[in-house]
Amino acid sequence: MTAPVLDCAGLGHRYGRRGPWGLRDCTLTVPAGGVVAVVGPNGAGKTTLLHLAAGLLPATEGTMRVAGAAPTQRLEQIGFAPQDAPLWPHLRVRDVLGIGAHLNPRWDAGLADDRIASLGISPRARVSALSGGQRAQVALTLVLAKRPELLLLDEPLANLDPIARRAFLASMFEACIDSGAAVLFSSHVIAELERICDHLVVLAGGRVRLAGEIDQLRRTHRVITGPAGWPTTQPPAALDASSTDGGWQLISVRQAAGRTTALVRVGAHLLAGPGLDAAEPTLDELVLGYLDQRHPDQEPSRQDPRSQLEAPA
Amino acid sequence: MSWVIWRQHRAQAAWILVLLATMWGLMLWVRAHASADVAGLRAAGCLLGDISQSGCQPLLDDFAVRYNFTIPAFELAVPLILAITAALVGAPLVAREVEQRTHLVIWTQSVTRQRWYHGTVVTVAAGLGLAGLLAGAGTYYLQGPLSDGGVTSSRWPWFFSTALAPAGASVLAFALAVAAGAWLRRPLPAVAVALVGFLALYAAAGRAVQTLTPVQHTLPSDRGVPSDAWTWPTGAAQAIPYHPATQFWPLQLTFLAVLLTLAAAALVLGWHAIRTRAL
Repeated sequence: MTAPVLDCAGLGHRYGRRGPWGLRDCTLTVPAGGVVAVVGPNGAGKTTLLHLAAGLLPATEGTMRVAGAAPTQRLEQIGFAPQDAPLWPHLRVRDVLGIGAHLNPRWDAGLADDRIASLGISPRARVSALSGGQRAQVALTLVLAKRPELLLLDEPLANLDPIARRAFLASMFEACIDSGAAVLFSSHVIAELERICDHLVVLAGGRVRLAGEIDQLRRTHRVITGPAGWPTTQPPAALDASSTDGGWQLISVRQAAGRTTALVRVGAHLLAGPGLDAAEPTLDELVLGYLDQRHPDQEPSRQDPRSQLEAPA
Repeated sequence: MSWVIWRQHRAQAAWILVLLATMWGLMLWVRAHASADVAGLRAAGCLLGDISQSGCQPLLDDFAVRYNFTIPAFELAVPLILAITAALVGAPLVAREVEQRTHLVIWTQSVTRQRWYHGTVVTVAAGLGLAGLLAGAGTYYLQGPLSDGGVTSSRWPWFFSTALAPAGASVLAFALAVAAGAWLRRPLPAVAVALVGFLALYAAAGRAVQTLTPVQHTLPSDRGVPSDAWTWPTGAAQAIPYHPATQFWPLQLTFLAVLLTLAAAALVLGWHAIRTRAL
């Protein structure tokens, strides 16, 4: 296995000396070439995590390493596209690319020019005259032509209309995969991610709720649907306290249309009881299930599902 | 890096060149007229210092009336205009980037934030210092015939507007504006803060240079303070302290050094804001 492009351990950032924590106790590894989606609600710490990785924020606690060193020592290898694609409104597109060319030793001018041309953007156009989608493309080109080994994209799809979003998504991932770089991007759009990313990080309240390879995560989770009130009224055999090998962990429960649906983390084997349907979760179900989860600090006993269910979040 | 600095500041550089050319044009024009009038005074034997004719006073009064406007128009306006210009250049240097969030882009290129800040600030400060030097040379050149004609007694009254002082003024105002912009993150309030700070520091530094450097005192045998000296008024009728003409350049250099030190301190404060404050 190759060395990780990004790894952080116990990472936290606090805004100001007594301010709120933007992120706490974050431990993650991004392998070379991995495509990682960081999802979570607004204020979850997604941008804080990306800014820490881009070297824009110092770590208050823990460590953040990119290719084995502090991000500020690896600026050449990091391509960061901030949220909403901020660019200098009075500059022309070619000047924006000129800034990239003059500040980055590994700049690929051919790639930048070809990409802008193939998108039908005039190099003479001023940034202020571009559409939101075009500006996002110019910002992405600025990052790609830097030839980074780690691409950090903060909400690349925000502020794009659905049609522009689909076109941008396709072009973005084609370019990212062509570049061979590892990609860490944040988003609150989950549905479109499934095809493209292989790792998932769910953030909420400044903490990592779930992190791992998506296939692995789907294999180790089940969505179990049963009659209303399940599983308190009718625990299946596998839910007994006797189950071993890591056992299982109830993540969250939803009630809908007279049925109760639970997301459960399971060990190697799970036998759903009578009257219950168990299925591998979709990415949506996985993310939403973990976002529904009560904060770990508020859970006195994670191992006992029934105590949680009697007082649902 | 230098291309980026040039690209981001070339419009400002052009405006400053236009401003300097206008200043120089006006100063040359005024100087040409003053020189012609001084030639007239000289022909009439009425030049200050060797007045030999009795009817000179009306001629000198007339010259003074005609050129008194140069005191507000150049002596006061030149350092003030330079300071305002420098503050307008300095305030957005960090604040505009933060305001339009492009600091997230410029600080994540392959150049470290420190190098970006130091490179940009030093280059732009050097440019503004050069503009200040040119303006200072202009007022110095303009002042020659005005002193001859008696509008000012020597170079000293224009001490804060001539020679090296305007260069220090523009660099200090720029540095204060950069720092204020970095802390406030809004360009316009930063301009206001920088100008208030500039006026206070410029006056304080000037007074310090004036009072803290050693002075000569008039001796009882003297007929008074030499006409080309800078007096520092005190109550004493005897032994009046003054700066002789030979101190002009040492004091100019001291004043410039004080202003540049203050500017460097302001730029360090600005760096502190960029380095420590959350984005």
